[in-house]
Amino acid sequence: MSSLRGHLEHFGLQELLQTLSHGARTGTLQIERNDEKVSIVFETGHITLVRSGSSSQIRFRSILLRGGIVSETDLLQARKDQEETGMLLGRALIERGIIDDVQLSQALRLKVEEELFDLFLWENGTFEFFPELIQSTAEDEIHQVTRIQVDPMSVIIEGLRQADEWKVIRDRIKDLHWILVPVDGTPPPAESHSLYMLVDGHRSTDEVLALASTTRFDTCSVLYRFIEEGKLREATHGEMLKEARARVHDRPASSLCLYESLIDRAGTSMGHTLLEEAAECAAHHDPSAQADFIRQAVEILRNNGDGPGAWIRLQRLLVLAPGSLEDLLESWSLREYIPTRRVLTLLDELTRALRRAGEYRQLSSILRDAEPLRGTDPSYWLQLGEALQRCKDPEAETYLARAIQISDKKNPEVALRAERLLRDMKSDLSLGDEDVEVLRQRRANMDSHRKLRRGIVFGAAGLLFVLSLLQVSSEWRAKGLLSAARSIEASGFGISSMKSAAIAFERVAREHPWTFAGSDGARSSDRLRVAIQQQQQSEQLAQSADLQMQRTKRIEKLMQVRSSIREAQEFRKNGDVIAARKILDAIDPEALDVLPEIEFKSIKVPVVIESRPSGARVLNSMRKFIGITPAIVDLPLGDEMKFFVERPGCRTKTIQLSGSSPATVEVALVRGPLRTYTLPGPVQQAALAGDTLVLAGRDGQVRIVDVNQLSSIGEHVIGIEGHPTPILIEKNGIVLAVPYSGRPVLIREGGKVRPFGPAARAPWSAACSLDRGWVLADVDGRVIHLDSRGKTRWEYNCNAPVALLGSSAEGDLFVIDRARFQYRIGTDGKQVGSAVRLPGEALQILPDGRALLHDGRMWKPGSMSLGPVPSTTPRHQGPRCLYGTESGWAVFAGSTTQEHPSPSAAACAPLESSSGDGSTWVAGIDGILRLHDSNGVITSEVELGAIAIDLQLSEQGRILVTLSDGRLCDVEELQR
Amino acid sequence: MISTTLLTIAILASIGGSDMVTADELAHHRGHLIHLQGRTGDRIGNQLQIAGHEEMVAVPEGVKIPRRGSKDRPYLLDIWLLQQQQGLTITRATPVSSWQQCLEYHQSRIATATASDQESILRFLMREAPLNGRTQLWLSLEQVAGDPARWIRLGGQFLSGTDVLSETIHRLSLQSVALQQQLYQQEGLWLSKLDFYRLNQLTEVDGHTVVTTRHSLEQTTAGKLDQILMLSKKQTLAKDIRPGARRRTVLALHGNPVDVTWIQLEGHFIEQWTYTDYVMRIIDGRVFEVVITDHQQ
Repeated sequence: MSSLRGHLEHFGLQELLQTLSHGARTGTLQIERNDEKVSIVFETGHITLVRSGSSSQIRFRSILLRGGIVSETDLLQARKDQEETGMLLGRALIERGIIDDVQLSQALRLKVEEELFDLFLWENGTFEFFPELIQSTAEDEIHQVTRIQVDPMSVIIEGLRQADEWKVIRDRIKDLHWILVPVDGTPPPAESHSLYMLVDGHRSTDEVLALASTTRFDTCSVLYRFIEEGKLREATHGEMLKEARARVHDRPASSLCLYESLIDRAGTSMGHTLLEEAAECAAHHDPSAQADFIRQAVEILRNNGDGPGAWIRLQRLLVLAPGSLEDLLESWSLREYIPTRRVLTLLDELTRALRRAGEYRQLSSILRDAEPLRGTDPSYWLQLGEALQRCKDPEAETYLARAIQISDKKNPEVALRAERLLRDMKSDLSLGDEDVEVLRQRRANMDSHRKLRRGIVFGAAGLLFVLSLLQVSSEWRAKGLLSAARSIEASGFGISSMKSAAIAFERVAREHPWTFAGSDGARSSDRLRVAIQQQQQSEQLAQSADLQMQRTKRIEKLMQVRSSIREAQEFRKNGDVIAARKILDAIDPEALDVLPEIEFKSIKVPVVIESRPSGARVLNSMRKFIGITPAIVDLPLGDEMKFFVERPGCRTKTIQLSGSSPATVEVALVRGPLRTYTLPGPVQQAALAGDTLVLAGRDGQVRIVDVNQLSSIGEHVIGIEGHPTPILIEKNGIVLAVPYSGRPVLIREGGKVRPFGPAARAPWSAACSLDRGWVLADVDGRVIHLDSRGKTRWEYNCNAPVALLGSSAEGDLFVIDRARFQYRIGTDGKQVGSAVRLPGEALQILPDGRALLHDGRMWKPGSMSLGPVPSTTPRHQGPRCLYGTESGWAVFAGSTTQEHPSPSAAACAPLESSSGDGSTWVAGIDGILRLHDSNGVITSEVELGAIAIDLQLSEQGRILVTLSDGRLCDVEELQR
Repeated sequence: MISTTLLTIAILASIGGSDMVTADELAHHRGHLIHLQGRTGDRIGNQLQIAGHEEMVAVPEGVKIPRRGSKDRPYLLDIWLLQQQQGLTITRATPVSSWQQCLEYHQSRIATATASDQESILRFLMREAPLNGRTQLWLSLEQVAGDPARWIRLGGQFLSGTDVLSETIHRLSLQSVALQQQLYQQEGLWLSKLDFYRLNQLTEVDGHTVVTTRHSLEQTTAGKLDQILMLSKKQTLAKDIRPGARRRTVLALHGNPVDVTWIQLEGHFIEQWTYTDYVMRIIDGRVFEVVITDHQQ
């Protein structure tokens, strides 16, 4: 319940505050003016809270920013905290450590004081004081954060002072939206320089106040002083307009403020142009403001007598605010400038708006004015009568009766409605029941006619729609077929595809005759048929011309072939076989087709049969002697004939020849060995010492054979039967035989045998010859160097069983053990360098230290080359290393390995021929010994009859082949 | 009483928690209380072998060791050990809940471990990984192991002779690294030194590489010369080979042997003839032992 209320005009604010302060009152003082409302809370005479609506928060934030206490970023973050947690802004700032309680209290006190000072500027308003305290809310930063107390007396003194000064200031700065401009040529002020800098000729006073770090009052005071001192001036009308236009797109709200200020100041003297500009600007920001501006413009135009111009603006207004009664009335008043059809529409809209507003009196007045426009329309008379009836005007009966009269038979609905109103009014002019019934009947008839018409229209439309659908569907399918036919035409080439396309087009025309695609198809089909006919004719012509040309060519060719054959027969008759054959070979085989069969069969082609070795007899299939190689035979072109080539000491060879065989056919005759000797025991190893061949097997014996006589010289037991075959090493016509156990023996040419070196302490595993002496090695890793007399010169111990020995070009020894380490031992028995790990299992060491690995790689520390995989033990002859492979044989020379193909895989290590021309003997697993020349061509073959175990080249130039069946073959190396 | 006290101390200590190590790191570990993951091996009385650690550890009464899993591959265990004057004692053992967790945990330790511990952890992970996932694990350890030599060595230890090891060495051109890491190439495959020696009938004795058959012949005959001589002097007329048969008879019945080795012992010549199905041991030309080779072994 309020205890004090009144008006500020009668009881000033200072008196109110004094009263409440002196009375030490507790309660809430509410002051209201227009829409503004401020609540001031008193506690025992002190002000503790002021709530002044939505601007309170803005003012609080402004104070914080102005004082430099917080930054924009701080406020933004605190605002986020506030939204997320619901805590107060001040508390959020404290929680973040941006401000402390004291700073918050000062800011709040300042806020309360400013809000109170602003109240002193109010010249009117009502107030009410009641003893209850209003509850503080989240918007009030005071009670829940910190308590402040403001002394009303100090506020009164300061408030009155500011109110007095404010009146003076506002006399000078009337409009805070107006822009202030620095006066050109005046020096900047010494004080308040930062504020002066804010006035840049573009900002309005309000904007400067928002940016300034001082209170609004203080800021305005300083600006006032600057204006008085001539440092600032108010912007001119043009400057304001320019700025307003500049802001339209980016800041329409502020632009609108400028326009409003301009319009306020211009008053009635302003033109409608400015208002329209303001309206355009408001269109970006506030449509209702836009409408207001247009209305003002319309008013000005009307006052200026520009009716058409006013109507144009009004049309925009009717779009912006449709149904606005005020605008419609305004438009009606301008009807003389409006086209008749639009006037009728306007009248309808106005009628509806007035009905909605219940303004029937005004409606009847307007309708009376509209009589010239709609006097013949019964609805008009009904509307007028209805409006007058609402106003209880007795004239209504007359107008309603007129509506019935005019409507008569054309519009029974209007007549019935008018009649109903007349009955409601209990008028004498109402119709009798019979007339009413006639009207109703007429209305029913008209309704049924209308329905019938509508039905017919709908039915026709439906039928049309169905027909359209069918046509569209048919057209769609026809188009699909047409498209397929076109793709057939485009994709194919030649008459057959054209025919297919024509059939496809015809099908479209046949199946969809009433469609556009169908007619397209028919046209395309006709076009294609004509084209097909033309092409067929041209092809027939071309064929006949072609046939004629072929005939001519055939005759020419026949003449040429006959001439060539006659020429060849002349040469053959004269004994020049080669020339005859050349002519016959030059004839194109296809050209021979032109010959009659009898002529073709009579052609004889000479072929020369050569043999290797030559001097062989050539016999035909009937074993009739033909000649001695090289022999000439004349052969028919088509048929093959069999011939035998025979030579003593060689196997007979059968060959099939025909006229299409090469001019010269060479027949390689396979020889047999010169001599064969059956060895007295098993053999796995062989070594040749001059004319003496040493053989060893697993029976623990070595056998010595004289290769000239092919007879055994002797047999010596050197090992144990069943043990691995002794190792045989040859050097300078001497063979060292190293058994698996026991003592090695030295076998000289002629078969002299003597024990050599020490007896084995462990199984011997490797041996080799050096420049001076021999080297033996065993599975305990012991390496012994023996001199030529069999005395031990030095010993070396490896860390693993010795697998392989080899001598270097410098006389050093290479040792490879089974742990794959390679050592180099000098002539003094000392290791040279460090041991090296091999990347694989070694088969052979070459004098330069290279090792041939099991997988065909040739390895040396720091380098590696790939080669074919060995299938036999290797043999090194000088710097070359030869070995057999699955598909022939390979030779390593220089730094590369070259593989040569052979008809059969090698059975043992190949052997270089003594001729020194690079020829190599290779014994195949097919039991044939072949001599390959340096190009890999086989130049001689010898049939051995068994798989070779070893090849040796004797000093007499013969190959000694040890065979797996226990025979020794003596093969002539050079062919006689 | 003592064991109960020990147990109490150990359980209290284990509750306190310590860094978990692998069994292979045990040799380098200095702490008194150790928590490790490993697999138990043979048990002799109260002594138990832990895979990856050479010395045996004590198992006090009352401590139960989970023995489930297969005979060849028991459970991987979490084991708590106590270092005492007389050696290491197990205080508690529980099965490891997940190999994957164990793998992730120890892999995460590799980066911060010392070089020797890194070796131990990698060895442990490879050994204890499920057999079907060992290859994949090794491939994934390429980055973790850091040094390619260490990685290849690890592959050689656990994936010797496998296609994946050979393919990886070939693909990454690590042949020289593999050779340095004591790996051997044979018939296209890369083998560890152990496998290479086994395949080539070699054995390392006192740092010296010898032929396995020769070494085993020496071992077999050492100290049994009288007995051997007695056996060899038996008279036999049997059609099959028995002690006392002559070398010639052996050859007549079985032909040449696949492999022969011999030694000399106190002036006697002792041979071993190896056939596909038999091994004949001969002294001074007469058989003293016939061994039938079981290929299935």
